[in-house]
Amino acid sequence: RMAGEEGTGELSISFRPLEVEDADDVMAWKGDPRVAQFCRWDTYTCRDEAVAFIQNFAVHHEWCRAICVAGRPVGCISVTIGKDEARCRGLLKYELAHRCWGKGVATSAVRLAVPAVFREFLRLERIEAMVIPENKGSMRVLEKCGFLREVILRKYEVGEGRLWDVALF
Amino acid sequence: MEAEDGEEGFTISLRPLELTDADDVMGWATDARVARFCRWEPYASRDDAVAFIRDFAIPHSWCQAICVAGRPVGSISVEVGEGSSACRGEIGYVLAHQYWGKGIATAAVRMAVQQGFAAFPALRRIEGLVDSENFGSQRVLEKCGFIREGVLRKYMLLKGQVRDM
Repeated sequence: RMAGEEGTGELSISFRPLEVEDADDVMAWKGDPRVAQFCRWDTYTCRDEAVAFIQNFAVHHEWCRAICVAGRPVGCISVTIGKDEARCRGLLKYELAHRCWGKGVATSAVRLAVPAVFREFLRLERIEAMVIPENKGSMRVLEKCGFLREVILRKYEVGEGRLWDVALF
Repeated sequence: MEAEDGEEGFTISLRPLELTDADDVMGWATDARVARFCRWEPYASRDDAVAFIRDFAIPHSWCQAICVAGRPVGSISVEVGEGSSACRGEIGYVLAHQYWGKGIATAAVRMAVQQGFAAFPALRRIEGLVDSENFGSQRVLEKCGFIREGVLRKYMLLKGQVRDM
């Protein structure tokens, strides 16, 4: 019961698990610096990295789905449930191929994912997402999906030689 | 070892915890009022205190006893992250109930912040997560110059209850 469809009037999306065979499609966004720019990972430079991502993260993850348009992966979305005192909350992450930006795809994906995750993890009370404030597109996705911006965490992360503020929704 | 003078002429200092402090640790860790907003239940036996010192305090990268006139009356720690989290540390502290309301936690936090930034050159942010109903602790952080960034709803599951922090 993993597939779901939702249309935006422009592109309708579905979910399915990522498979190793999706590595080339995964490279289409993981290898794109425009996508990596706002994420915590470096742009992938070879297909092996995509295979490793699928095998080591996606396949064993408690909730990770390929975002598919016309059946083809164009991104992925995941919710990581916390441990111990954090088990009431899940961290939402999503990434999307640049060509699918601005078409409501991420919004549809988040709208599909959130209730599915709350249904599957009955102890879950909170889903949160962290976004770099410069990533206006992603902040807009979360706002459209009913997330509330709680706080900007100043100097929260370090990477690529600088400190990053993080907006917590 | 730095010392500060709190209200009422207390001399407050920080030093690493030792196994011989177990009885003093029991002085606060058995108290339900102290444990109320903590992740742990009040200690039932001295073994709990020994385990805390041996398994948490001693191996910790920065954990100290809060001492009044040289005697441990609480503990304070700064937990620094790794990798992309290396720029931030989380402060946590606990204090025996009879020493509440005397500026001791405030003095300890001030010293810990100063020493924490000195001990970890990559540290750029110290944060504290406080239960939304723990007004005393919120006051301590405000007095030390911490800025309340926001309230995180349904953030933690503490003793069977989902808490805002």
